Amino acid sequence: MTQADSLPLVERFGRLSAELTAAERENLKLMLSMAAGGLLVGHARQLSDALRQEALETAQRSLPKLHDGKRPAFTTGIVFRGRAPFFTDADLAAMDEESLANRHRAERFHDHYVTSGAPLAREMALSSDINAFLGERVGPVLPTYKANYLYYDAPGLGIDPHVDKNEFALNVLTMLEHRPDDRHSELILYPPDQDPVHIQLAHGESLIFFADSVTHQRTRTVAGESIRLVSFGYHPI
Amino acid sequence: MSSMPEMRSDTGQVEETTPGGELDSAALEAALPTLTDKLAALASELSDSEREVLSSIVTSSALHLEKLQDINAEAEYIYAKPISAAATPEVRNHLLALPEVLGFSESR
Repeated sequence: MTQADSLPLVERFGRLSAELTAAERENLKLMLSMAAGGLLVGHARQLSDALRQEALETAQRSLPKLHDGKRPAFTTGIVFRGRAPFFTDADLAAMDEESLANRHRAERFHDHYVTSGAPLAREMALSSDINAFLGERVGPVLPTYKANYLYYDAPGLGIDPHVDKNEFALNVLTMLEHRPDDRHSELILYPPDQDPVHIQLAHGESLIFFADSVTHQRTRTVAGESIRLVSFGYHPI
Repeated sequence: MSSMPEMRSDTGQVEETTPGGELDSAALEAALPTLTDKLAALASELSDSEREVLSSIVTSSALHLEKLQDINAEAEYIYAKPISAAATPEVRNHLLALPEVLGFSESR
């Protein structure tokens, strides 16, 4: 089962979404994203392979349908990967420094640590350069005022398959540090109809993707591994 | 790097959002019964095969949430914020019960 038109529930979810309030839609999104996560990690072992695959593809394909046509057609959900032109070396160095300085006040957020609203990151997220870059690729966006430093710096940290909340609909995720060179933890995207996309970001490299539409996870760190990222949220309008 | 003037996202759902533009937890919780009614109406229109897929989705969602709760309990920390959407304990509990509410409990 690989074609959207052979997944009748996808269209039904799309039509249902148009009738929902924003709050109902957010709850449905949570349900679908948790379903995709459960189906990916095998929590539904009693299902036949065919049914599990159809349910997974239905959940994955339905998630973008919940956004009222405000997501451009995409295959992987990835808008850009590489060294983003809107960050200078000095910008990256400054965020690296702020990330380190704010580690002590990071709060545990599921299976990793997060510092929200640090001044420099927040200012960076409002950059007109970023806005213009995103606008050229996905149409108009608004910054959501969400700028987080993420820390996976103890053994076993990671995050199971999920989609992001609305504030990170379009996520600009930038690697500040991943050590040692022998890496274990990785970011994996699960676009429908395709093999998983395994991503190891280099220092200073950014990934821009529709994090509210594509199921993704960070696999667990091992002893001695440390990862620091900065994440900005944007919302297509 | 130049900065933009401050802008606020207008989601068109002002009554459901905080000043920061996030969906309000109370609004999300209040939306659960109506969403459940709409999902029940959807389920009633489905063929047997479609219903089976919906059942698998609803059940897998509950199983995954349950598993994540188990992880949280074992981690000995407070589940301060959700990984997706604004899932308060009431939202999570509602989704955990959803398979049975929709008559899908046979597949768990």
